[in-house]
Amino acid sequence: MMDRNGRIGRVRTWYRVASRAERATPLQSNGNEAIDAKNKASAVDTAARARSECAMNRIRTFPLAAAAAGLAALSIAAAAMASDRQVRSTSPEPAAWRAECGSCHVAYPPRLLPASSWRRIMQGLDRHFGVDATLDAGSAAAIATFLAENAARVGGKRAQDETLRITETRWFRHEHAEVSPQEFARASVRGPANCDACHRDAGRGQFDERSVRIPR
Amino acid sequence: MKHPRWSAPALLAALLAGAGTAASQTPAALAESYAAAARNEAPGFAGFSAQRGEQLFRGSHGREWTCTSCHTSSPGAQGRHAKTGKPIAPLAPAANAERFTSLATADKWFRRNCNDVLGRECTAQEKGDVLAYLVQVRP
Repeated sequence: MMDRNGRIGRVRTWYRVASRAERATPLQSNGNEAIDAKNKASAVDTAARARSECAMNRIRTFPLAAAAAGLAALSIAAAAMASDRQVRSTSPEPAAWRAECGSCHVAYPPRLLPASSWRRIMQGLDRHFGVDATLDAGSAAAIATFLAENAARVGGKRAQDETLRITETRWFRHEHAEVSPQEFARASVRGPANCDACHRDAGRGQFDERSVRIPR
Repeated sequence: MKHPRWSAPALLAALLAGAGTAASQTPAALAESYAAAARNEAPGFAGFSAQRGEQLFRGSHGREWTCTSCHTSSPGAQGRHAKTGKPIAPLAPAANAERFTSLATADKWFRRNCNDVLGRECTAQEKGDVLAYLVQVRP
């Protein structure tokens, strides 16, 4: 990692380690004691200064390193928060959920909407995006509980404002920013709500980006 | 999760309810249920008509969707959801042995789809007519 000039290659340092040549060359005698003494003193001085500079550099770089570590920690935390929509369902899915909610469209995983949105959807099943999707009381209760327990954790005002359409949530639009409207409009895709056109494993709740195939 | 405390009456009721919702009935049994309900609705009940059922199935009822929007004009063939495109298994019992084997399931879909197509619930007469039409559809 260290090159000829003593600079460490990949890892950037702000101090310079004395090269092999420099370290190998002994102090030349000048023939004059006083000058020799002075040279030696100044050499010691230089070495000491270099050492202290080295230490100083380390101290100087420490806040930078600390800031970098802090940023890394923050971004990990942010990623964790953003990926709460990636968390798997914690409770087992009731049979009614897949049977009923997956009878006309892909069974959208509960983690894609906050609990307040699911509540509003379950309360308006008689006009579920234009059609009647009403359920018997037992199925409705089981499904509502499952949705609430596994909903996306979004707090405060944002939860109240959240749209009922998964495809209109900020999260969805961010995730699909690189998909053009033309691609969504293809006959083989039929719009962004049709997850399994491109996410073949959507029915199993898997939306891994690496397995996306947008049909022609 | 709390386990329900089963009592004898509750168990009996559940068994009876289960018998009603079990997918072990036949289209003929469902037709009898609808006939009994139709007699309650209108005393002048005169049986079901496959022709009336076909008209109801294929006809337009003033709203965006008809039965054929999803089940296609050949209910013996596979259909697809008019909005999502999701495949729908054939509706005619001759093409799909699972159709009309549960009164609860049939009533559930009649309730939803008649509300969408007609804007109201179908009467027992109408349900029986449609069933009479569907049982004689060959794939």
